[in-house]
Amino acid sequence: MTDSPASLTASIPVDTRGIRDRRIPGVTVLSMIWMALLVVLVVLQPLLPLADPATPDYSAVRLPPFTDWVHPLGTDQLGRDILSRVISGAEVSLAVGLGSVLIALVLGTLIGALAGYFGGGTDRALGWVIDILLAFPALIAMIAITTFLGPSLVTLILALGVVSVPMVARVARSAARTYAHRDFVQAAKAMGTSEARILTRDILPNIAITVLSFGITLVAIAIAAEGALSFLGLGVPPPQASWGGMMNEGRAHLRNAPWIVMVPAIVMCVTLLAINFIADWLGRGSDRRGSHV
Amino acid sequence: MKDLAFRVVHLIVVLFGVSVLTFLLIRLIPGDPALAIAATTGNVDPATLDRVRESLGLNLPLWEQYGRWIGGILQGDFGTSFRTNQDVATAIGDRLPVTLHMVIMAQIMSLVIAVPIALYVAPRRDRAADRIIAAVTFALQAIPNYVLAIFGILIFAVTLGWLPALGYVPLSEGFWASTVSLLIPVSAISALLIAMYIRALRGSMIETLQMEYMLVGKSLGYSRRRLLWQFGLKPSLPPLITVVGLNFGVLFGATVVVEVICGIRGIGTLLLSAIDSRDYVVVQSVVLVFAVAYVLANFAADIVHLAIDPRVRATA
Repeated sequence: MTDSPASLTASIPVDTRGIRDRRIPGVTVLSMIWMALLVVLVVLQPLLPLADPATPDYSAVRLPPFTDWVHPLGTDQLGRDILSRVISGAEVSLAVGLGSVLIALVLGTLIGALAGYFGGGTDRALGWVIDILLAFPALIAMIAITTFLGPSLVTLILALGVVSVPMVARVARSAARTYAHRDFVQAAKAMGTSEARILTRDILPNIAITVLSFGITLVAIAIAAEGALSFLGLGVPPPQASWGGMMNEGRAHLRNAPWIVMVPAIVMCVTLLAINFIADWLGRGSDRRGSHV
Repeated sequence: MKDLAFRVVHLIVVLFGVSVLTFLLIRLIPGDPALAIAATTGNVDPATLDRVRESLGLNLPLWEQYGRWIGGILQGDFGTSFRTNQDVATAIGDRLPVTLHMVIMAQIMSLVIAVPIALYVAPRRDRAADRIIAAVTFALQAIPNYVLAIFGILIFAVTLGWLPALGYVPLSEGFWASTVSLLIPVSAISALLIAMYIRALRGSMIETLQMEYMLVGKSLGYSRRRLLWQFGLKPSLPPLITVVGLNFGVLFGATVVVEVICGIRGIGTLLLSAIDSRDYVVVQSVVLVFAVAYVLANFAADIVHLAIDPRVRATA
């Protein structure tokens, strides 16, 4: 039951064209530029000549994009500047994506590597726990955690991080298992190297790329999940802008002011695509290593 | 057989674990259901609260509450909603068919679209069509279904006026009307499925096409269409069947936000309103339904995998 999806992906032939091609593909470069742009805008946010993202301006309600230089991407139903809200929302998305994935990577890799390396009883016990957690609907766990701790940015990061741990653990486990019986690990064991040292020196560096490229995909999933929670009223509390929150609030104005929804929706889509392109490129890197053994 | 027995034990342990987790996690959510119920009668003195708790069984120790709940479910009794006094099985029975309709329609739509595309691109590996399809599926699986639902509403309901923006027409009011009412949400859900199914079938089809009997078939003069559909499809199906099966388990929980956006009163929206009103009995039963669907779909996918692929049986 644990292995079917993993064995499934393994059965799909790996695209090996990338072996010869060491240049970074154009889309990947564009994706990196987009992500860098987002980071720069978020960091420079206080210095930029933008309207305050939370202050309503009732004299300029529902201004369409590209009609006014003060509000280049228009304004929402309360007259708030959409460009500055999108940038402010990017801060939430990046914080949630990076923060939660960091939690998931640390805990998930630890659990997965231990289970995959030691095998036997440890593996079986952790395998059961991972299966139980995976069977539990992630959205429900997040709703329970956010209602328990109260909606806030920190809660979101914690909730998404905790929910992602079993997914990372599963990936790390199957990666660690492929290395646990390899010759260099056996050799290290025969030489009397301690288990802790084998884990940190031999296992972790080898599963790192697999886990990291999965982690980058998880960033995209976390950003999408943050949006989903906003639709259920469990995202970051207003007036803080977030992409999901902007879409949810703008939904009622789809007929007369579609840009209130479209701008954050398009920015979110581009960001998710960019992250996926980067993860895909990194993932090909890990396949390249695997295909030579 | 030993393998099968192990999987059944595994299934039972996972189900037990999930039910305990559900039960405990829901009690973490702050808010006292007894207080909420007493407030509706306008009578919140301690004596009333105690009476309400007693009638709901909330005064019992946790393990006993759990035992009663699971014991009831094993006998087909899901309990009664704290809030509406409705039988929970009836409430689920009202809403589940709506979500089930969405899920089944999404699966059929995805397969009808994905299978011909996968069979078209598999023999044209790395050619223009294959690359275009790869790019499209890549984009489809990156974009969340709720964003697609909003795009769909904006384009096909608001701008073009072809489809209704909100609401669900039950099957009993006509197959066509019902299908039309679900087109936007189901398409939004299907995008990811189509991408997954094309990938799964394309991959295994490419493997099948490298088999020698395909070469034999080709040299015997069979048409490409016949080689693909008649000889190639069946042996290439196992990975696709696995993904389709697993999706039956995941989709019930994945439609919640789309249900909210498209105004569909399915099991997802039932769950949300139950969480809002701290209706423990409803929440834990719906979550259990989701979890059981997930676990059973996994189990079924494993069994089917064992049944159709002798290699798995040999190594297991």
